[in-house]
This record gives sequence, structure tokens and C-alpha cells, in this order.
Amino acid sequence: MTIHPVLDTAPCGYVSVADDGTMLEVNLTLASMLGYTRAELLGWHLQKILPPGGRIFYQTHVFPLLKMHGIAEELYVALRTRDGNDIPTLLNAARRERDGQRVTDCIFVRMLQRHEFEDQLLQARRLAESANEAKAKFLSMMSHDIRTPLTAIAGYAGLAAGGAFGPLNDEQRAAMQGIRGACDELLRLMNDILGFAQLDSGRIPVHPVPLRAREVIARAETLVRLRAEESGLTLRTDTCDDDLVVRADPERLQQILLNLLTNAIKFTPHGGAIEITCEPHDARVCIRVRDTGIGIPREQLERIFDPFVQLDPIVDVVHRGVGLGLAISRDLARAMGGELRAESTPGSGSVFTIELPAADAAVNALLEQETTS
Amino acid sequence: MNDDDVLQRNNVKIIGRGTRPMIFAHGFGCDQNMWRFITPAFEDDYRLILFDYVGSGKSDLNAYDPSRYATLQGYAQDVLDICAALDLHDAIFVGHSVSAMVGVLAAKQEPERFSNLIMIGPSPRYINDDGYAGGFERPDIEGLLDLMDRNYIGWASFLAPVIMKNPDRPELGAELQESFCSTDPKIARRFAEATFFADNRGDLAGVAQPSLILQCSEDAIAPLEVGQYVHRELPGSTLRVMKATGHCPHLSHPEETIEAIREYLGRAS
Repeated sequence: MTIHPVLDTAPCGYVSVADDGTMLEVNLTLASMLGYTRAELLGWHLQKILPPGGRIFYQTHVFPLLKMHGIAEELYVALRTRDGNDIPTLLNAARRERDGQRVTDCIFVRMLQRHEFEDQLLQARRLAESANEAKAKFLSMMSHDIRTPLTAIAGYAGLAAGGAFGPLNDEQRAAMQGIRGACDELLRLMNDILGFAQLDSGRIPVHPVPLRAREVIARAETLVRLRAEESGLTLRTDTCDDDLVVRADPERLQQILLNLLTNAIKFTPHGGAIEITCEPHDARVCIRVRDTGIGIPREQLERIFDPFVQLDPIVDVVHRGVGLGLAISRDLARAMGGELRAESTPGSGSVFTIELPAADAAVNALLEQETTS
Repeated sequence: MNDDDVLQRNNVKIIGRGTRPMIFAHGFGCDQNMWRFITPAFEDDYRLILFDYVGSGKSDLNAYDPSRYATLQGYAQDVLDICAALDLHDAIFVGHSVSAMVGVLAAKQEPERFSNLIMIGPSPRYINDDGYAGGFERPDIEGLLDLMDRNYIGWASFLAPVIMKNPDRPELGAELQESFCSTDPKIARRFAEATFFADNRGDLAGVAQPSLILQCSEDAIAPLEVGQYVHRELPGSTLRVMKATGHCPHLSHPEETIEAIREYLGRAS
């Protein structure tokens, strides 16, 4: 078969390969790039011009890709020359039908310089990955190590404030309670950092199971009711339908709900209200936490999910927080195949929506059976 | 983990109208889609079980545990978990490439699950050793890992779900929105290490089930000498050298592969 003269001298290697790997056409550029004559290459298996690792890559990745998709673009492939050197090339290939036969046309472009750039990129990526891992490890170790003594301080301060070590005057009791309160705040901070470090390194396993939305909400409500009442807030929960079943990790969903409810309590002035509702939405279930709090300015709505973001500094003096809770909550929701969104009108309140996949009807029926039996 | 969780974790698909189970285990680099050219031939007579190893195809990536999948034993456990979830007995195990050895490990551990092993391009050790020619040296495998690293820079878009047309078999070519192969570079790299640094030569002698070795001509990954070695060491094995070249005859030469499997099963039953 003759090759068009332009193709023969084109500034890239060209080879046409049969399905069994035999080279049917080769241009002169490729032959001279590899140090062979065209006649030598014709009839050989393509694998003979690949280094051993490249042969495995061809058989396990490139060939299946071509066979199933018919096309492969921008693949990095090294070609082995007659004297055993490897030339880095970029491969584009397409399967076609020609003369009643399936063939794969391949173009190889030398990429000596790009190869060096890629080396640098790869090196930089590896360094960044290992730095990130080291950071996550450090954060997690540090949080653990600080948490243990902190728990002891909080415990003893609490006991002392309660008079366990003898009577205290009002000033001493207030000081002990102050220590206890500061410790609790630090512990919360440590837990957030630890949680974030674990999420960031992908070490928090999420095990979604079918859960009744009503039961999850009731449990969260019990945990925060007292705090809401102490802050002079009304806490209302919608009666969810029994058949609203989500697929979620019970502990993680509880963590998200508690985080949203704690925020709502923190940012809603005395006399306000917090409402939890749930409703189906296509194949998903939306759980909403609505408050009549101070709200979030429109330009800051998306940023509240970024780690370590603080909003109005004046607000933060009163309501301390590093803004990790929402970042963690959104990551958790996403890890369970869901989403966490916020809407807000400054001055009148915010709505946080946890959207989760609904468990399928068969599971609902099963839960129904468990309840009735 | 209950049975449904296992089936979901490994993206198990069951097709076919027969009763005798035939479980298909894909090789390194791909997923159960690799079997689509040959499964139609067995649908009438068998119950076909297809799956993706954790970390491949549409398996649950959250279930990936680096220590479990650091060796082929973790992959064998996937197979056994699926067998248990479906309560399989006397299944025909069809394993491509690395899955041939995964089948060996699974069959040794729970022999009652399997009646026959069909191995496509098996190799119990890829790296040459004293008196053993596996075909590769350690730096060759490092070369593969480097190639994978470089290509995985753009892997996500390269292997993103696309409309998969089947240019050769338009009759099968329902335009499926399918992802192809494993998409997590770190997992793929670990799978490559578990595969190509493994040495399962010592496991062959303990296999009780009869087996078929489908050996391609000019297979650069599992050369003929390796196929012959497996045949020598594996009691009750049949070696069939195919006209098909390369390492994926079920993709490149589906008819010959189907015929070889049918002929073997016909004789075995």
C-alpha cells in the first residue's frame, strides 16, 4: 500500500494498525524517528516499538479504550527506538474501517520539552499531595493531644463550680464557670478542626442507611430544645410524613442538623423562632432549618461554606466561631450524595436546606413492615 | 455489611436466562463493560454475574480500603463476598488477566463456590525470577506506573462518561451512558502494584477445580511460556493456545473466545 507523499514526510509519526496489533502502514517520519526502515516495521506487532511498561499500558488501557470508544486522544506514550532509547510522544488514535478491515490510525507527536514540563508538574503535584497529607495528620494529632488535657480542665472546673471541692463564694464560682465555658468553646473548636482534617483527608467513612426523616429531626430537636428555650426562642417542628425516608449516615446527618440548629440559636435574637420542616422533592428529601435571625448578606451567602470564613467581625465577637461547622456540614452532605444550601434575607432570617437522596420504595415498605410487626 | 450492600458496593449485574451461575471478573484497567462482546453468547444457558471490583467502574469508591486492596487477597474477598451474597455454589469463574489469580485465591479459600475456572491470559508472576520468565523486570513495572501517572493527569476527562458507541457491533450498540474503567488514579496505581508485584506461583498447586487456560499468541503481558507454566503447575488444567493475539481476546476476538469457552464447558459437563 502506498502512502501519500505528504503523509510520508509530515512532521509526526503515523502508523495504521490492525486489530491484532500488526502494523499495516508506517510513514517515513516514524521509521526514521525510531531508527528503522519502513520495510522492517511493516508486519511487526505495534508492541515491538513500545517499552515493556508501555506494552502493558497499551493492552490494559489503550486497546480497550480504542475498542470500546473508537477514539483515544492526548495519551502519553513512550516509543522505543532501535537502539533502546525511549522517545516521549503524544498519541491520538482513531479506529476506522478501511478496505473492509477495522484499522486504528495513530499519530505520534514528539514531546521532548513538554515531557520536561510534565515532569515538573508531576513533581509539584506529588509534593503538594504529601504536604496536604502531612497537614491533615498534624491537625488531627494536634487536636487529639489538646483535647485530652482540655477535657480534664473542663471537668475539674465544672466540679469545682458545683462545690465538689468545698464551698465557693460567688466570685470564685463565676470564675470556675468562666473557665468551664471557655474550655467548652475550645473543645468545640478542636472537634471542628479534627473533623475538618479528617474530611479533608477523606478519612471520615460515611455509611448511608435508610432513615425516617421524622425520627432524625425528633432526636435533634430533643438535644437543642433546652438551649433554645434558655435563649428565649420558640422551636417548632413540622410533623413529617412517616414515608419520608432518606439514605444517610445517622451520625453524620445528626451532626449536620445539630450544627445548623446551634447556629440558628446563636444568630436568632431573643423572642425569635426556629422551625424544622421536611418535604419530598423528586427522588430526594429536603430537610429545612428556618430561623428569624439576623440573616446573611447576599454577597456572603456562598462564602459561609468556605473553611475558616468569618462573617461580620462584630457578630463574631459575640458569637465566636471559626466557620468550620458549615464547611464540614456541606462536605458531609455531599459525601452522602446530598447537598447543603443556604438562603437568607438580612434582618429577617435564614433557611438552610439539607437535600438527601430518598431511600427507594422497597425500603420504605420494609420499614413499614418493621413498624407494624 | 448485608447482601444488598455487597451487590451495590460491587455494582453487581445479573443477566441471562439459565440457572447455572457464571461469574465474570474483569482485569486491571477496566470494568465489567469488558465482557459485553461475549456475554450475549451465554445468556440463554447461564445466569451471568457481572461486577466491578471496589475502586473500578461504578463500584462504591467509599468502600475502598487501601490496606484490604493492597494485595490480590482483597480482590478475592470481593469475589467471595459476592458469592456469599448470592449464595452461589458450583459457579463457573471466568477471570481475565489478574482476575485469573484472584479466582485461584477465591477457589482455594471457598472451593465449594466454584466448579471450574476459566482463565484468560493468566500470569502468577509478572516479574522474572531465578529460573522463571515472567516477562518483566521491576523497572518495567515502574515504567508502567510512570505512564499511568502521566496519563492520569488528564484521566478524568479522558475517561469521563461518554456515549459509548460500539463501532464493531452496532447491534449491541445501544447508546449507553457509561463510564469506562477506573477513574481514581491513586486506586488504579495501587491495583497495578497489587497486580504486577504479586507472586501467586505457590497458590496454583492447591486448586482443586478443573480449569481452562486461554492463552493468546503473542501476548506481551502473559507470554506463552507463562501460560505453559500455569498449565504445568495447575492440576487438572487444559491449555488452549488461541489464534487471537494480544491480551484481551474477549475484546479483540470475541467469537474465538466464545467458541473456546463453549467447547470446554461442553466437554466438562
